[in-house]
Amino acid sequence: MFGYHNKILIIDVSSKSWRWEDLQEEVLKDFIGGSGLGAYLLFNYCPPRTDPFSPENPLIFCASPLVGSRLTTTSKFAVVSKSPQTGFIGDSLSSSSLALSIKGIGADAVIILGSSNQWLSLKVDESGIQFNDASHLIGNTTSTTEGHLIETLGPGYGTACIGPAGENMVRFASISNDGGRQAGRTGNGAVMGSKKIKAISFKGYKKLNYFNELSLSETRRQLAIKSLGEATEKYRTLGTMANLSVFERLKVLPIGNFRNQSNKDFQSISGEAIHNEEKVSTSHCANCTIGCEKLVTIPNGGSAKVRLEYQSLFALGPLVGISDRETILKSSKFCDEMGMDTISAGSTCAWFMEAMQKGLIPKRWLELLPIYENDEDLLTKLLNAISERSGIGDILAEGSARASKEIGLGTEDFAMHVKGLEMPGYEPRSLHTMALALAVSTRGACHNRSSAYEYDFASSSNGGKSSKGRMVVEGEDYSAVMDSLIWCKFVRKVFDEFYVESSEILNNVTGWDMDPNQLARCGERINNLKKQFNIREGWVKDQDNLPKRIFTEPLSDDENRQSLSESDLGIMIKSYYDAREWTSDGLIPESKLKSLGIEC
Amino acid sequence: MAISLTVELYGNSRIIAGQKFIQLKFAESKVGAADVIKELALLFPSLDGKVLDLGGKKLLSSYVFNLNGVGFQGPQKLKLRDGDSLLILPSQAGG
Repeated sequence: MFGYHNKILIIDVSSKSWRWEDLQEEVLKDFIGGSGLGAYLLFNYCPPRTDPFSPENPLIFCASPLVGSRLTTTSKFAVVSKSPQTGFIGDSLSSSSLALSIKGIGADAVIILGSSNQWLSLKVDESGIQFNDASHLIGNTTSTTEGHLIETLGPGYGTACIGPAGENMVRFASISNDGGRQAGRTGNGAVMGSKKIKAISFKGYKKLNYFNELSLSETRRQLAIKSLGEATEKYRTLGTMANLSVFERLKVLPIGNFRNQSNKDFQSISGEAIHNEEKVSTSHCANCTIGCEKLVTIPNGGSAKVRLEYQSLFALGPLVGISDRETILKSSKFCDEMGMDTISAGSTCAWFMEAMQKGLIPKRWLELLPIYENDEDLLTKLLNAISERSGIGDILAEGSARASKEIGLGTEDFAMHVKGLEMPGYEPRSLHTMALALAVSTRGACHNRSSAYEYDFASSSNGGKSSKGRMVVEGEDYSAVMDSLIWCKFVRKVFDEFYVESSEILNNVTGWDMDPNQLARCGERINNLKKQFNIREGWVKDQDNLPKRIFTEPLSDDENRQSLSESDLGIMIKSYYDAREWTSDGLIPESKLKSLGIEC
Repeated sequence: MAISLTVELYGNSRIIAGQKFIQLKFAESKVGAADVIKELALLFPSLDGKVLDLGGKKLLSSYVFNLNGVGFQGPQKLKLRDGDSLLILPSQAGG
């Protein structure tokens, strides 16, 4: 077969054994790869109601049909497991040469099952798998761990590893690869830690054939040219940190744990200011022509650089009410080195800081707090405590949802999460399509699985509330296809007709005859399967919701612009269920599952 | 009647021009996007081809106009009034 190996590698770290299984072509046609294939494998390999930290929870690395094709931005992979933050599907994407290494061993996906008694570093190559003792790596940062393995394993290995946060099973721990890139959201690093896997390294050079190499070669050339055009200008120049000043001006930048009351000026941490005043270099993933990564040299940090993104800038800055650039850059770097998601880390700290200000933190918790001088110092010490699970950090490492539930006293109302996943830097009271997407997303408060903010920012988005459901469905299905092929989201505007062009490319890779509608249908199928997984794991309708603060604290008196009522969200959710052809309770009718070919 | 506008630059447009805010004055009250683009190109020629499409009297597709920080509007819909702020923003919203 073209473009795929049709193989899954299944590794059991309990018994230190492995086996290969065939992957049927029909499954690949239905779920493609990446996030979609990961959802299929999770549904089938995770026993119902499995505890996320149980050995039975599979940790799945998925490549895609486009990995290895050398098409721009396609060196990407998905990591999927049952999320320790949400208890539902957890999936996260990362990029660069590790994707090539995973596929190079001859697998379309790698499933890790079981749990080890001792810390392991796995070495996977064409000669087999070594389960090496990793006790000497414990406590090391992600960059030290990866650097050590590069040095000891020799050239050609790609490594995914966890930092101390993953070792300590911080629920929002990430998995790091290729010099600090992160599979950041939903806590896959904690699942890896629960299995006592410090690192897994892949090396392989198994070649794949492509059905129409000649045509792919021309597509490769054309996409590379187009990817350097107007459609990616922002990402190539300032990167995503350009969002900060724009979002602040448009009042869609969440500030102070979404209270949006601050006397601070965040212009000094804008992408423009950082670009002008700091040393910034550009980097890019393997096989990417865009180069969105901005590496900022940290002031007073020696030669240390941080890979700075808008979401980290937002979560460790305005969200926690901090505008000191050095603190934010150091905090972002710290999270990457410890291996934890910056959004959830920042948001959990923001919740805690507000609860402290309101005198709602119990005395027994305050006694666990380190001595601090100011908010900047407090943030630094909280992040450190979380990564170690020391003192108050042991409670905060559970995330804002669980910590607030433990305190009560109304603190749940301003724990800014959906289904246990903390909210990203898009203000739902101003961006109503995004508000709906955050509420209904299968992975919790997620901005990446719908890109629904695009509808709010577009001039043509002024439809009524009942039109939002269709928009979110379109965005989710489109994103599911992107995340399964896998294209980088930043290349999306390069396509004139996404489904037409992508189905043609997929056919040239695989030799299939998939039409654009069938490809779009894959997106719908993937999202329905993700939802069906959540239903199986105990999802109830009330969990499609937003934090209470969103409804009770409008940003202004203008009802149409900067507020959102619970009843309006309810109308939008109904429109979403209708557009999905689900029941009024958000369940998927048997007939719908059958029409999509989903067997449960 | 003459009108004054403030043009606010964001993203790479600010880096190229080296300015956050630009004050523009027009002798006539009927001012459209094309007039603003022409004036900006006169003041900052380096914006042409990177932010402005001077030939087409429009922004490149990598940028959009926003009036007073409220909603997004295409150039044909812009109705500029005295005291308005016209924002030039990157059109890509992701991140």
